[in-house]
Amino acid sequence: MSGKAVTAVILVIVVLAGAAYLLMPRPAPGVQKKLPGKIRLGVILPLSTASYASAGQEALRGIKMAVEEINSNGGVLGKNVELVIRDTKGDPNTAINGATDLITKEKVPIIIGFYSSTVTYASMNAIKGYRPLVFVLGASSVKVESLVGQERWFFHMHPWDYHRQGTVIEFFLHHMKETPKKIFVAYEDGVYGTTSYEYFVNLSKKENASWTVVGESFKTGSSDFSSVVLKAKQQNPDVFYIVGYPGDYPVFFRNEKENNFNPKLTFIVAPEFPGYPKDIGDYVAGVDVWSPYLSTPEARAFVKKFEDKFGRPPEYWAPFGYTATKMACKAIENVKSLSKENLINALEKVQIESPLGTVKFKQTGKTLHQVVDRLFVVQWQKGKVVILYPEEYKSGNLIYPVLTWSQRGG
Amino acid sequence: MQQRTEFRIVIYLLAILAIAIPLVSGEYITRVAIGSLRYVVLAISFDILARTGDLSVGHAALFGIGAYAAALFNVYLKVPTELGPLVGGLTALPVAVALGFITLRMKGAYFSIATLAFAEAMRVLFLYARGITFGAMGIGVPPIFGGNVTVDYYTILGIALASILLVILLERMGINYAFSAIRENEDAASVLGINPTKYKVLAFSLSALLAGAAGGFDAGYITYVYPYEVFSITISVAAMIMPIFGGLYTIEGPIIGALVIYGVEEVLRGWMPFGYTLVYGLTLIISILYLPKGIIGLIKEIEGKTWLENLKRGT
Repeated sequence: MSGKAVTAVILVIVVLAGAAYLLMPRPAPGVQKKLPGKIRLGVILPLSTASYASAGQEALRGIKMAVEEINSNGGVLGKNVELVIRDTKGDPNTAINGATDLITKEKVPIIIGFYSSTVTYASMNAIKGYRPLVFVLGASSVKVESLVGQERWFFHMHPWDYHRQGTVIEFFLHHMKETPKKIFVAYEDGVYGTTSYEYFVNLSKKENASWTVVGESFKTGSSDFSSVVLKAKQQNPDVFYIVGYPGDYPVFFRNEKENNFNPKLTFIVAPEFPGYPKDIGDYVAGVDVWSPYLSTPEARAFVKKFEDKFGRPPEYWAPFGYTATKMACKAIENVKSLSKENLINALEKVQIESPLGTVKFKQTGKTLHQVVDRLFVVQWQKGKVVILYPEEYKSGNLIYPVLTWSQRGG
Repeated sequence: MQQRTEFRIVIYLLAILAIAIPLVSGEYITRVAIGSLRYVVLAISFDILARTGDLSVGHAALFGIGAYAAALFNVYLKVPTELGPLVGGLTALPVAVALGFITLRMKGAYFSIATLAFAEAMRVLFLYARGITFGAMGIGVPPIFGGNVTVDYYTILGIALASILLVILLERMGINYAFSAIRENEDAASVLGINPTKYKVLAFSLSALLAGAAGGFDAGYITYVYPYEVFSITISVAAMIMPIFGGLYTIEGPIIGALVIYGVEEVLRGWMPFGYTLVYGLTLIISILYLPKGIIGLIKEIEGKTWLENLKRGT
C-alpha cells in the first residue's frame, strides 16, 4: 500500500470515529436515575508523601472508622458504604487528576478530603466547572475561602486562619490573669505560618491589644532552630509563640532548654499531637481545633475506640474525617437521594452529635457552610492536658509564668 | 521503503491518537495526558542540556522562573495566562544565558551542585521578595483558556511538538555533533575548533526556553504559583529521571520516559493506592540498574537502529 493510500485510509477512520463519538448518546452529567447497590463516597487525601501523609492517613483512619460503624449498623438506606480513595501526594497536579477521576469516572456523589491550602486551591479552580459536592477537611488559607467559600457545593470542616488567631488573641486578652507585654512569634515561612503571623499582627491591632509583636520566620523541618531561639531570647518576650508543624516543636523545645531561654509561656499550634517528649514539652500551651481530652460522651467513646484500635490517642484529623463521613451519610439517609441539589439541601440541615461536639454547617465570614469555627486552648501540666478555653470545657487554670528550666531540674 | 511506510503509519497513528485524546476520552484521561505532556517538555529540556554532558539537578529553577514570570506578568501587566508559556520561556532564557556563563565552566558534579543551589536560591528569593512575589502567600491566577481542558491539552501538545521539532532541528543542523563532542571530551572538542562555552550556553538557553514554557503553562493550568511547589525538588528529580529512564541523547527517549513513568504512576495509584509507591520505586530502580541506556537503548539492542534513524536514512 502506498503512503498516500495509508494516509487516506487513516483519515477516513478518524472522521468516522469522530462522527460516531459525537453522535453517541450520553446521559446528562450528574443525573443518577436510581440508587446504586452501594453508597460510594469519594476520598481524596495526601497518603504517600512524607510531609503530608501523617495528616492524610490520620484523616483516613477516622473516615474508615465511621464507615465500619455505619456498615455494621446496617449501612445507609440499607446499603453498604464503600470508599473510593485517591492519593494526592500533596501535589496539585495529582490532586486535580484524582478529583477529576472521582467526579467524571467514578461519579461519586460527594468527595471528602483535601488537606493543604495550595492543593485545595488548585483543585477547586480546576473542578469548579462541575460544581461537585466537596467536603473539605483541611485548607485554612483565606485564599481558598475567597475562591469557593460562597459556593453552595463547598462544605468546609477546618477553621480558617482568622478563627485560629482570633481564638489566640481572645485568650491572651481576656483569659490570662496578666496580659503579656511582648510576644515573639516564630513562624514557618510557608503560606500557613506567614498567613497566621499576618493575621496575628492585624487582629492584635484591630483588638487594640497592648502587646508588642516581634516576628521571625523559619524553614520547617530543620534540625536546629537555635538562631531563632537566641533572637527570641534577646527580645526577652513574655510569650514565645511558635507557628510550625508538629515535627518542628520538639526541636524548638530542646533548643530553648539548651540555650536556657525562659519565656513566661511557650505557646504553639496543635499542642496535642501525640508523642511530644514530656521532659521538654511540659507547661507548653497552645491552640488546637480539638482535644482528645474532651469529656463529652461522643469524644470519650471515639478516643477509646481509636486507642483500642491504634494504641494511642487520635490526632485531630481522625475525628475530622470521622465526623465528615458521618455528616455526609446522615444527609444521604435523611434525603434518600444522591442527587446533588437534594444532597446539598440535606447537608445544610444535618446536625449530629460527634467527637467534635454538636456539629452542623453554619455561615461564617465568607463561607456558606462551615463546621468548626471555635478552637480550644490547652496546656500540658505534668504530662497531662488541661483545657483552658472555652469556659464550658475548662478543666483547669493556666500556669503562668511557667517554671524556668533550672527550676524544673533534669 | 517498506520500513519507511511502516514508520509513517506509526507516526500517523500516534498523531491521530494525540489529536483524538480529548475528543474520545473523558476529562480525567485528558488531564492525565496534560500532566504527562508537561513532563515530556521538561524531559526534553533536561535532555538538550545533558547532550553537552551537563546534568542539571535543579531544573525546577527554570520551570519555577517560567511559572512565576507568567503569574507576575498577569498580576502586574495584565498579560493573559494564555501567553504564559511564551512569557515563561522568554523569561527563563536570558536567566539561563547569564547563569550559563557563570556555571557552565564548571564540570560534572560541580555543575550539578550549582544547579541545585540555584533552584534553592530561587525558592528563597521568591519566598522572601514578598513585596513583589507575594512570598509564601503565592499567586492565584485566572485559569488558562478559562479552564477549558480540551484547549489546555492542545496547547501543551503544541508546546511538546515544538520541543520535539527543536531537537530534530538541532540534529539536522549538526549542532548535536558539537554537543556530543563536548560531552565526550571537552578539550578535544576545543582543539577541533568547537567553542564549548558557546555551545553549552546555547544548550542551556534552549533548555531554559522549554522548561520556562512548561512552567508558564503550569501557572495557568494549576492556577496557583507557590515557591515550595514550582521550585520543588520533585520537579527537578522527575525532569532528570524521565529522560534517563527513556534513554538520554535521543529524540524518543525523553518522550517515552515521561509518558511511561507518568502514565504508570497514574495507573498504579488507581490500582493500589497504598502500595504503588513501593512498586513504582522498585520498577524504576530495576529499570535504571538493568537498562543503563534506557528503554530506547533496549529497543536499539533488539532492532539495531531506531525508526527515526530509518527515516533520516530514507530506508
